[in-house]
Amino acid sequence: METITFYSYKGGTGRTLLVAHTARYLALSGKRVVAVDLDLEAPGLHYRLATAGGAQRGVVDYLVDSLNVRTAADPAVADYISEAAVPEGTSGRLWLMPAGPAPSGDYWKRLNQLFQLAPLLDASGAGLAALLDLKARIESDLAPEYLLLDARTGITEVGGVATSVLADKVVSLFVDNPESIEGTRAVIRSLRHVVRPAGSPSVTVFPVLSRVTEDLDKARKGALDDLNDGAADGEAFEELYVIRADPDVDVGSEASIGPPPKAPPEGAFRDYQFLLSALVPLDTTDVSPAWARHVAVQKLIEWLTADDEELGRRRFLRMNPRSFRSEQITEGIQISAGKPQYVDVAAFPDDNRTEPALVALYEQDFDGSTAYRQWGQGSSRVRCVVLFGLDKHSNLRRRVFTRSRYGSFTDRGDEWFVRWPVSFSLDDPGDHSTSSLLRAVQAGNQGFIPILVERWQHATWFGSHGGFTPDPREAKEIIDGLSALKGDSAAMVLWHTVADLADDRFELRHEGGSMREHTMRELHAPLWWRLSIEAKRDYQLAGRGRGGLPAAGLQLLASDVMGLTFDQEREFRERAPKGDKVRWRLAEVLAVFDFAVSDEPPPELVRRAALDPAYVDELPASRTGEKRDKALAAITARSTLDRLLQGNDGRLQVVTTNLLGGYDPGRARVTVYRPVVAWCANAIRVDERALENVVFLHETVHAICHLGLDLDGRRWDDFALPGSTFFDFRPSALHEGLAQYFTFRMLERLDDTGMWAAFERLTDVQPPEYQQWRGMREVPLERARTLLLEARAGFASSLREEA
Amino acid sequence: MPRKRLWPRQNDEFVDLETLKILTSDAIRRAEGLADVGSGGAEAAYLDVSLLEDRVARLTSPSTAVGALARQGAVGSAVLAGATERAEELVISYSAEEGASEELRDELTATLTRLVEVRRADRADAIRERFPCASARYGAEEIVRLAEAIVCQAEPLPIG
Repeated sequence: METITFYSYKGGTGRTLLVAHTARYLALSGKRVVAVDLDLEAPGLHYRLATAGGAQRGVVDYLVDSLNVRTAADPAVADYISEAAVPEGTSGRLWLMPAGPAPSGDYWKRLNQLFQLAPLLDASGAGLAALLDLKARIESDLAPEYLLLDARTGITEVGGVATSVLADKVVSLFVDNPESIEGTRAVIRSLRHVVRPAGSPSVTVFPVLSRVTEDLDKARKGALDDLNDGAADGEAFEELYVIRADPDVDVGSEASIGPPPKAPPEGAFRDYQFLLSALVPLDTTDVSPAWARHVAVQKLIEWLTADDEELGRRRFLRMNPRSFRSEQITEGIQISAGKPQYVDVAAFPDDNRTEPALVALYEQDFDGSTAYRQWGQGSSRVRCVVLFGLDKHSNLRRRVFTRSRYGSFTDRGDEWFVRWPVSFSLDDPGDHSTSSLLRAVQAGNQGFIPILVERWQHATWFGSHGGFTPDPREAKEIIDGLSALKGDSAAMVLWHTVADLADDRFELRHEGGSMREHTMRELHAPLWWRLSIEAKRDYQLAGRGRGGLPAAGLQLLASDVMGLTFDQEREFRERAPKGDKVRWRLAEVLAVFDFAVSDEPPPELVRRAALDPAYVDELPASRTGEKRDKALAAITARSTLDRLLQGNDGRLQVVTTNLLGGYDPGRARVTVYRPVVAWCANAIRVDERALENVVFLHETVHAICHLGLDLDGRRWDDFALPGSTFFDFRPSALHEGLAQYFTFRMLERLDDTGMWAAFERLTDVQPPEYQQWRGMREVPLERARTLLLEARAGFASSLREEA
Repeated sequence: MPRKRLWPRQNDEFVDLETLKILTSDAIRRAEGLADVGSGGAEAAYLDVSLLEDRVARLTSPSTAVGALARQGAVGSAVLAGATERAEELVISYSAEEGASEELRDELTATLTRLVEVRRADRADAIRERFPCASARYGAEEIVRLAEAIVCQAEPLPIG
């Protein structure tokens, strides 16, 4: 048995990773290997080498039981060690002895107990004997060919024994900085003079410079000179091994283990190959397949965990990462699929460490029947199976199979987005069709909203640079699907479609600000109108801490439909003092534009109740107080509404303004009266949210008529709705006619089936003033705009004439 | 008011010989008792014995029976305390005393050698019993030798 200790004077050198790589490589090459974590104060090898038993017990427990006179002597090493899975047909075996169940509290108690029991190094020899006993037992019980020790950094008792008495070879890793190099130099020179068991040759040292980012040869030469600085005759190192910072995907020619290549090796895999070929020289024919498998596994893990640096900067991707994190990945593990199966790589969801989301099997011939046989049938519930291997150029090849929630197992070819963790919330992780993503979003998974937005952009963009295929049908499916969202997702979709200054995703793929404007105008603004009033409200509130968010929806109505200018943000910026923390409160005072949903009875309902003999006594003389509140609540009751909103002939008598909604010019505030809208929606059998939005749109037209600026920069401050005379209320034909006409034009633009139906059905039960738009369908928009301007200027012609 | 010292300085002849003898006997009994039950405190107790025996030795001449016995006791208990270096220093110191006979010098050297060997053998036995696998692989005596060499090194690795 050859014992190799991996040591680093300073941390952060990739030491534990190298232990794991070496162990797995040797096992795949048909060798029997035991890896022991002797980094007792900061153990981590069990994160790199997964075993069936996990890290329940380990070195610390063994040493405590071994040294404690109260426990039975001779603890069986098998009770403290567990075996890692290796592929079927591999003759190698791999065992892991973790330090213990770190970082649990129980582990640190046991470690403290160990240090209290006996100093590991004292003249009695008990501590040293316990460590030597562990090594001897591993050798006798498991007969490994290699024992790999992961030693603690710095100068410690256990690290000292691991690098001197226990080791045959020491791999000493360091990085290129003075403290690391000087510490390493002192340690590896001392290893020439350490105490060794009788008859043992000196320790062979392999210095390794890791995490190299600059030119390899230059780094090697510089570090070697530093390492040999002041070395006595015969003490200088001739060879220094180097491992570069990141695995290079482009390995180049087919990987093989053998004599060191003549040319300097390229790529981190080659760095490992070069080091391992010297550290554990094996027969080339034995290890070629093992090395290929090892390289393929590392490349697959890299693919699963690769985070696009540019994408990583984006806020929404930090919330919804498009790759697994390395701690979610386990390499070489048995997964139960009816019977235990070896998988090279498993990726687990965050909240479930027992059932992987994805498993990957190294299979050079990509035989799909194996995947179907082993994973497509029986009791397996794994959602995604990836067969992978290397082509003749050592590039990674994949074949992906996915399982839907309903059991179907589908060959997806080389599908790449299965590496997005969010894919596993879909009905089928391989089905990224628009309808599949919309179903997931409607089920509450907001992670797909940005993807759908991007897809909508691609389906609607006719930019000069090309690259996208316009698809109006898909664009409509997306906007209809998104506009049906409810709850938090509805506000979130507005948030994700706004061109946020802190988020450059709109600019990443498209030049200038064109795509930004396109998305704001054609997606965000229509969605703003179609989503619920609560969503609009949440979106508005979310913008308060950020100095406001664009009100593209209002601009769409004001500019594109009504021909007026209304920029809420500009109004606000120009009228509110800058740098004031109470700007938003000021905004309310300035009454730029505001909206709300109210459960109060609307003025027209109160008027009708006051004139109705059945209710006149219930309305109190006092305008305030509990009695009044009770009376007002009573008149929004369903039975009251049944009576007050229907005439004596049983026909509905509904007006929009002052009954379903209202616009208060003094506060520039639109209000939607929810109890009445709900009753009315039920009465005319339309969707309540659609009717709310129609009412909101109608009242907002009133608001823009009042607040909007014409080309002369003038607004019509007198364009307030006439106050209703209490006993004889008639809607204003001019105001309501214009409002209905622009509502109709806006609905044409929005193309929302539900809102259309609500508008049509509502018109049917409204007075003639609200029905004028039906006769004006053919009136050009320009003419209506002129009418509006003339009305604002005080010489309006009759709408009836236009109709 | 100056505070009274609770414990004399090392060279103070505060405790008389008879009291020292009683303290020494008690300390020996305590150390042997602790060693019998395998207590980790036995070594510290033997170091107490060595200190007391050394104090008796300073109050007595090496030519007297009590003095010779105390010197042998100081050396022997230092070995049992694991303080081999102290034991060696005591042997050199006592051998250089005026009035120390050749016979006493030989006996002190022999005591040191014998007890070091005995202690080493005891440690090897303990290792053999507790760690049979390591003993079979490396030899219990070899493990004791390695442990002593590492302790002599006074640091985990011989840096510098």
